Amino acid sequence: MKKKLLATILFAAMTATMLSGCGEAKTEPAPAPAQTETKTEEAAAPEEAPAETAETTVEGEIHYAYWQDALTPYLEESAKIFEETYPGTKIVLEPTAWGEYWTKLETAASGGSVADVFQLNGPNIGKYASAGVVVPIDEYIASSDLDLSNYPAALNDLYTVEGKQYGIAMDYDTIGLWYNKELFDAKGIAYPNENWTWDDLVAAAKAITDPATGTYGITADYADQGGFYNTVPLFGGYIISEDKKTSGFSLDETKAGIQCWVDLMKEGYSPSQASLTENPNYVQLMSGKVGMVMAGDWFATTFASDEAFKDKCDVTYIPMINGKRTSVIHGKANCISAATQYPEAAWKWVEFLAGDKANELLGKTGAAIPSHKDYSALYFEQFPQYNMAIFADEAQNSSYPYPTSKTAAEWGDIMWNELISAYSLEVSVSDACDSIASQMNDLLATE
Amino acid sequence: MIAPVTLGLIIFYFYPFFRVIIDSFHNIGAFDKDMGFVGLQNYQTMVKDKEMWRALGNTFKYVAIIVPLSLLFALLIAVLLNAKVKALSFFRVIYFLPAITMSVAVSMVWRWIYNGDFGILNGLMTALGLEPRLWLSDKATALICISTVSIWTNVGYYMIILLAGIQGISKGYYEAAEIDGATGLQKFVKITLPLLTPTIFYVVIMLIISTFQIFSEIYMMIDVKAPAIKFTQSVVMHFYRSAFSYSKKGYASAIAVLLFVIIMLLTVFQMKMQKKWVNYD
Repeated sequence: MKKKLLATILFAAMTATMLSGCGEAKTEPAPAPAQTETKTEEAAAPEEAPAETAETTVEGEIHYAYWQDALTPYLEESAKIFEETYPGTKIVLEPTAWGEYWTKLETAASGGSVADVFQLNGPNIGKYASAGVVVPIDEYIASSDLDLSNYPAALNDLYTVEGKQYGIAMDYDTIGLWYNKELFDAKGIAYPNENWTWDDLVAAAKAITDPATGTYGITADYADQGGFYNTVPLFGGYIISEDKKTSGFSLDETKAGIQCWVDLMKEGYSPSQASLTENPNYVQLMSGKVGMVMAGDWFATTFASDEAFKDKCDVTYIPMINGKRTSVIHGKANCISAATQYPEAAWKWVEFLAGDKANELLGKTGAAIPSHKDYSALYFEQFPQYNMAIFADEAQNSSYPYPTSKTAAEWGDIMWNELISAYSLEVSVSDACDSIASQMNDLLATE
Repeated sequence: MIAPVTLGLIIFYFYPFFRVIIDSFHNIGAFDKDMGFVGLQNYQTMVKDKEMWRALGNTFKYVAIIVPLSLLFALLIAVLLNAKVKALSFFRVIYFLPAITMSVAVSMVWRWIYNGDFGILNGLMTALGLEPRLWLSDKATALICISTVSIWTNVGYYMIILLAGIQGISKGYYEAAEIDGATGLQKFVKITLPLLTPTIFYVVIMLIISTFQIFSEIYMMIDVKAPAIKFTQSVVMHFYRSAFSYSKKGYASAIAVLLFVIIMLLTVFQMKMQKKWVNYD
């Protein structure tokens, strides 16, 4: 009996710890690096230097992690050209689905087996840079031919932490108002245009909403980049102060920029927050259930590749509020791991992706807007049926920098954790915002 | 021969087990950076963490729903499949299939069945003239929907175990009962059930342990941005998010330790209680 009891307890203990095992069992990066180093030296030795001397030092296997599957054709082509240019190198592409990308990247970085070069975004750059997981690239940039003024200034700033630049944006994205022309035609109202104000948007949303057919005017579910990050500055509020020390959520102006969305929800002009978590906004737009969706340029690919939907929609500017127009600008950047064995080759790959050839390729595949200003138009040309010029105009003339700080990934979670209840109409916007402000200020104090 | 197994146990079970206990007293942040020993601070945070208490409450709800219903259905099907019916092995395979299918794949399929706009469940509801619902987003139904999927996956596996138990009961008892003119129900209640108690005991213990660790169904079916997440997330889900979304690995370890203590106490309690109802004859 005693034995059996002990066995059961031990068994329960083991089963219970299984779940923690996955996060805790770390593999020490023991003798592996030394081995690889010698191997490459050996492999490199007989390979003299017939070509230009600058290129012979570049060698090694570069692992590259990214999340957007649509980028794969462009990256495969880029890798091929890169490997031809630098014969000692090999690019290994490591795509991961968006849902798992950050978990996987952080676990890999903790275990010392992270990719040599990987993509980071606005909310995460501060976290990775301040932990020393990625290296500053200022010196590399200074010694290369790259001209940073070719890339949107807001994105150079986004990837600069404490005066050091950690990455070069590979693409950029801004937000527009996508609409389903059929639903506007059915109600006999004019399409949204560049002169629209927020009141016009509310009026159109009201006109399109029809409980009898189950159609809604707009989607007003929780969205930061595609939602209140754009309206908050128009009302005069901010998410985080410029010195990154205080949260702007306790300001009435910030609350107004969120309230305008929740009001649409309250009026019943939008499917509920619950409905929109089951089927995201663009799916509901494509299925003809909603008339308008505020979303990024990157949806052009999705919309244009759907035979039944591609000619039914178009895009225009985000409506003006208080006579002002803006769109938050964001872009992902290529960063170099501090643990890479081949910093030289890693930099060359980053430099290549920021260069003319890669930007041209990216534009032609239509996967994202190339960050280099000379090549953005190539992307827009893929979609002549849509008013894509607005995205470039927003980026140049009315963009608002993506709010971030070192703890952005954490306060990002706090933000939606609190605001989901407001968008679900369970708590007031004001209460949710006050709660965010106090939690966010606590976090910012630790930076 | 035994060395690789022992080595596996040490690396994947014993080391993490003790490591988790140690980590629960440390403040461990992003990239596994250990910011030192903090004593009971993680446990104090846990007491104040409303989400933790809610997750614990949800977990008890899952156990209260999933354990009895899984046992009931598994027992029912085991008894049915013990009879001499046509295509017996076909049915056994059918009922066992969910148990050997990846729970992630199962959850994905169910997620589509439940989908508010395109799911077949709502298609069925509309065809029957009933109101369609947002099954997985509505906090009133989400937990029950997840439990249903879990029960559906559990039944096949425990059915096989119970069936083996039933078949281990000596035919002699049933023959004697038949001579005395016992009905089918009487035979089940007076013979099958008492003699099956050791198997049932095992099944209950296993069900409780596995249900306390419910995770993949929730992870796959409920979006972290869904309004229903607070009302459906289990302790393990909260552990996962603390460790891998919020990078609080020390705190997450404390959650794992708490879950271990709960499961251990419950198991010890059941071992003590078994004298009252388990028949080892």
